[in-house]
Formats: sequence, structure tokens, C-alpha cells
Amino acid sequence: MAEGVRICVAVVEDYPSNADGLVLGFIGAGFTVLATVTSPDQLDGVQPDVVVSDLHLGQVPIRETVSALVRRGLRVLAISGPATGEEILDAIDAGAQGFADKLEKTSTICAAAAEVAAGGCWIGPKLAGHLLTDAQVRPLRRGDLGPAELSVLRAIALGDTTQEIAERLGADPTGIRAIYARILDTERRRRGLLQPTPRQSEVLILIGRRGMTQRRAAAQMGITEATLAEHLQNIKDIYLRTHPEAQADITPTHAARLLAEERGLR
Amino acid sequence: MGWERWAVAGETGIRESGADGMVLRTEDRASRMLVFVRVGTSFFVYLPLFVWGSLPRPWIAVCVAVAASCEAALFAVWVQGTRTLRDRRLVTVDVLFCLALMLVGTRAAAPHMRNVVATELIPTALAGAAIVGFAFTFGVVQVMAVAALMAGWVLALLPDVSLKLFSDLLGFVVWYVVSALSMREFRALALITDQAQEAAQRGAVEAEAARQREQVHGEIHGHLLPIVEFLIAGEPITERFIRDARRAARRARRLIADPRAASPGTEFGRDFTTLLNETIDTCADRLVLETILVITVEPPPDLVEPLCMAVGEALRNVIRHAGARCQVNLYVESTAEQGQITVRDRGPGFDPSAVASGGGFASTFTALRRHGADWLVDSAPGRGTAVTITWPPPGRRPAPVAVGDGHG
Repeated sequence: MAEGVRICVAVVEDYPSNADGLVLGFIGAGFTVLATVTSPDQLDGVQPDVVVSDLHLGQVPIRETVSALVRRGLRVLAISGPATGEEILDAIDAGAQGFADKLEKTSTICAAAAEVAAGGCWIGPKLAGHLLTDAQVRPLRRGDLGPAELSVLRAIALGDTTQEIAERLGADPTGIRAIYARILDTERRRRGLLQPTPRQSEVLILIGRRGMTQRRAAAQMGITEATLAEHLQNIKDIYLRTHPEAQADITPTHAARLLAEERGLR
Repeated sequence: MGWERWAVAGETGIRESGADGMVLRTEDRASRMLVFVRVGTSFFVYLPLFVWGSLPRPWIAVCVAVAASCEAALFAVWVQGTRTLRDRRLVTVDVLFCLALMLVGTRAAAPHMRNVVATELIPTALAGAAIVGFAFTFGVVQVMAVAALMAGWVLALLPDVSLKLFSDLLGFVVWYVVSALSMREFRALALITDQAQEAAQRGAVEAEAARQREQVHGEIHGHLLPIVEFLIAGEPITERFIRDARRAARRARRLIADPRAASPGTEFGRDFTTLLNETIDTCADRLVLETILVITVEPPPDLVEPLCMAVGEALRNVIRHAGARCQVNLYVESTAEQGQITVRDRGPGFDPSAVASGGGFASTFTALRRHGADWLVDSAPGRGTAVTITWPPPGRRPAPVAVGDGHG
């Protein structure tokens, strides 16, 4: 944080004690907290340097939360406790500039917010792990992460700071920050691959989350059971391709259940 | 009375369940079977051409034979698209074609010779009755369609009537009735199978829901609730309480964040991740531990246990030498390209050259080398310690070493 310049932050968090903890942490670190709200639409007229937003705001889909903030021209640092990898990466895809785990020290979350407020990105160990995994299961044909980006991600996953990474790689911290931005851009291109279609997402919710039988789900969707079975088979294919360690004989219904849980579909 | 009535004429109520998987598959199989019948019987129509010389109008026989082949091809293509015989337009076209075949085809022969040609045409015509039966089983419209075929047959043979005519007419009835009965049985069986499958599926869904409820209940009751109640009671927070709280939080986070962790005992079994988490759990409550797992490929089966034991050993070393509040990062990468585990602490560190070899550290880590893995300790006083274990990715794995020594 630059000397004498107070960073303005807004907190989007629907759990009061979490919000209080964050606000106290930011104030203690010299931030100006402009607003503490429970949903993005309460930020009308507020222009913070960075919004620190929880990923789970009631039943609102994560992409919707982050997109709503990004549409307002805000820079977003996503935070969460028990978010799944897919949820975190969805937040990045929706435009979040970084992710910090709520379990991280307050000083780390403040550093992340400052970094994002200054126009940079923040990749914590947890996000680094998910980015490395996603690079394995959804490889891009062109322009994927190179050795430098992978080294940086591994270093972050091991707990290295930007300064430590720069020292280890003999690079300038500014260069490392540019690598962070490249990594997140690459991930956003990657997120288009092997994603369930809207119709498949509907199947995931009905069968994977609500536990409907195929017959009931087909009736609810107004499709034949044969079409539903095709959707399930495609869902299983997506699951197997994005989870190479899974057993090939997993049932389509079970794959749908796991994928729905992993994607936080409700 | 429309053709739609055909579908509801059956007594099984199958039409309402026509979208079911097994019923649909049965329809598909039956339709393919009838394609074989339709195509197969179309060849009989070429036989009159062998008595070309005795036919007054042989060109009619040629036209009929070609038309039969075309209709069979159309039938096959149509069925391939619809994958069912329950298509009133298809069956109407087929019945009309059979009528035309009989009435026109027999005209190739002289009136007193029509039975000679008709004998070659009847398999194709009987297949028409079978198609009606397979497609829509019993019903008034269906019976009328078969009656029309029978009437057409009588008109086709006139005036060459003999006892064979009655045998042919009986053939239409029998083919229709047997086909309809068979299809009704097939559909009923498919429906029963569908219902059984749905019941099994519903049971599996309910069992899974019950298992998850039980697991969540266990986590809340056995781990989280005691922590919350302890706080509510205002008891003094002890080191033991912090450890319990840390363990409970870790378990709860894993339950939520990794769906597979919530499904132990399913097809994933006790894989590397499960064993690793169990190992970490034994130490995690005494450390400030950040764990990152990038596991897309299971390590070789014989390495799984030694790796987990080594991780446990490394974490216990951190507790022993760096202290319980020490920040520790555990990074595990098991992919197609790389196998690596690093346990890194920011404790006081040590001089590896000053440490005497032997002890649990050496024996546990030596076991890794026997399985093709390697390990390295990087430490210096004041710089913390990093223990890195590596193993070759699948396909690049050397033969296991019989006996080996550790580095420390």
C-alpha cells in the first residue's frame, strides 16, 4: 500500500460476524471501508478501489455475484471458506482478480486486497492448486501455461510470496505480477472447455442435487428419457475427462451428483 | 376413429410410458427386426421373373419387384430415423403398398395363373400384417387394416380361387395376431424392467441421501457441535480445544469442498487422496498447515503407502523440531508429468550435514527409494526446512530398487 494513500474497500458478505472480522482487519491495516453489504446491488453509488466479496451469498450463483460486481466496473477479490475448485475458478472466469481463503491471516487478505486495488492480481496457494489442477484436466491446444507460469504456481502453492518467487527465479517482482495476470487470463480461456451446457446443468441440478429419478427429471424438463440419458452420458464424459483419477465405470447418475456438488449447483 | 387410437388400444397402458428407456429400446429393437423382415421378404417378389416366358405382362413383375425393393429401402431409412414402428404414416404407407403389390403384381400373370405369381408375393404381403401387429398390437383400426389386406388378397387372386386362398387368409390373421401378442409381451416386459430400474434408482438415490445425511450428522454431532457448545459455555480456550477446533474445521471444509471426500467407500475407495488426508489428519491439529493437492493421476499402487508414511514422518518432524505453531506448507502434485510432495516449514531449520543418519526418518524415507522414488532435504539454520519427495510419472518409472540407502 502506498504511503499516505488509503485504499477504499467494500465488503460483500452475508454472514455478520465474518463481515465484522474483515472490516476490523481492513481498518486495522489502514484501509477505508466504504460499505459492508450483503449483495452487490447494495453498492449503488459506492466506488471502492476493491470489493472483497464472499462467494457464497445465499443461493445466488457465484458467477452472478462476481459478474454483478464486475459490471459495475469494480475490481473484485473473491474470498471464501469452503468453496470448491470449480466455484473458485468460476469466480475468476467471471472477472474476479484474485481469490483469498478466509482461513488466511487477515494481513494476507489485506495484502491481497491492496494488490487487486492497485490493478494487480492475487493468487493464493489454494487458487494456485486449483489452477494447476485445471491446467492438467483442461489443457489448451495453444497458448497454455508455460514452464515459467507453472513454476510460479508451484511456488505459490508452496507458500512463497511474490518477493520470494522473484528472488528464486531471479526476476523482478513486477515481472512476476505480469505472470500472475497471464495465468488468470489463460485460465479464463480455459474455462470455456468441458463445461456443461445450460441443459446439462439443468440435468445436474435435477438429478445430481435434487436426487430425482431419470423419469421425473425427463418429465420436468419436457424431454424423453432417452434424451435425458444422452445428457447424462455427456455429463459423465465431462466428469471423466476433468477427473482423470475417477474410475471409468462410474455411473452417469453418480458422476452427475459429484459434478453438481463440485460446481456448487443448487 | 383415427390411427392415434391404435396406440391406446393396447391394454398395458404403455403409450403413457412410451418415453421410458427400456420400452424405447424394445421399440427400437423390434423396429429393426421388422426392417430385416421387410427387406428379406422383398426378394421373393423377384421370383416371378424366373417364369418370364409364361407371363403375359412380365414388365409388371419387373416394376413390382423394383417397387418392393424401393419400399423396403424407404422402410429401413424411415425406421432408422424414427427408431420405432409406432408411426402411423409409416404403417399406412406399408399397408397401402402391400395392397398395391397384391392388386398390381398378380396382374403380371394370366387370370388362371395368378396363384403362381401370388405365391411369391404372399411373404411380402404377410409381413405387412405383421408390421401392423408389431406396431400397434390390437385395436379396431388395426383389425380393419388387416381385413383390408385380406380383401385385397381375395381381389388379387380372383378368379383363380382355390383352397389355398383360405390358407392365405388364415396366414394374414395368424401373422397379425402372433405379432401383436408378441409385441404386447415385449412391451409389458420392458415396462416391468423400466419400473424395476426406476425403483432401484430411487432406492440408490435415497440410500445415498441417507448416507450423506448420516455423515453430515456425524460431522456436526461428533465434531462441530462440541466446539460451538464449548464456546457458548464460555469455557477457557485451551491448546487442546484449538486442536479439536482445527481438526473439526478441517474435516468440515473437506466435506464441503471435495464431494469425493464425502463419498468414502464408493467407487473411489481408499485412494491416494483418502490415505493422504488420513495421514495429514493425524498431525494437522498440531500444525498451522496449508495443504495443496494437485492429484490427477494416482501414484503407483506400491508407492501410495510409503508416500503417505513419509508425509506423516515429515509432518511429525516439523512438530518435533519446529514447534506446533510453525507455518507448514504441504504441496502434493501427482500428475501425468510429475510426482512430487514437498513439506516445507518456516521453522528454525538445521544443518543436514550435522545430523547423524538413522532413526525413523531414515528408515521411512529409505523405503521410498525401494519403490523408485527419491527424496531430498533442503534446510539451513534460520531458513526453515523443505523435504521434497519425487517419483517418476507413469510410463517413465524404472524398475524398483531392491535395497537402497537414504540421504539422512
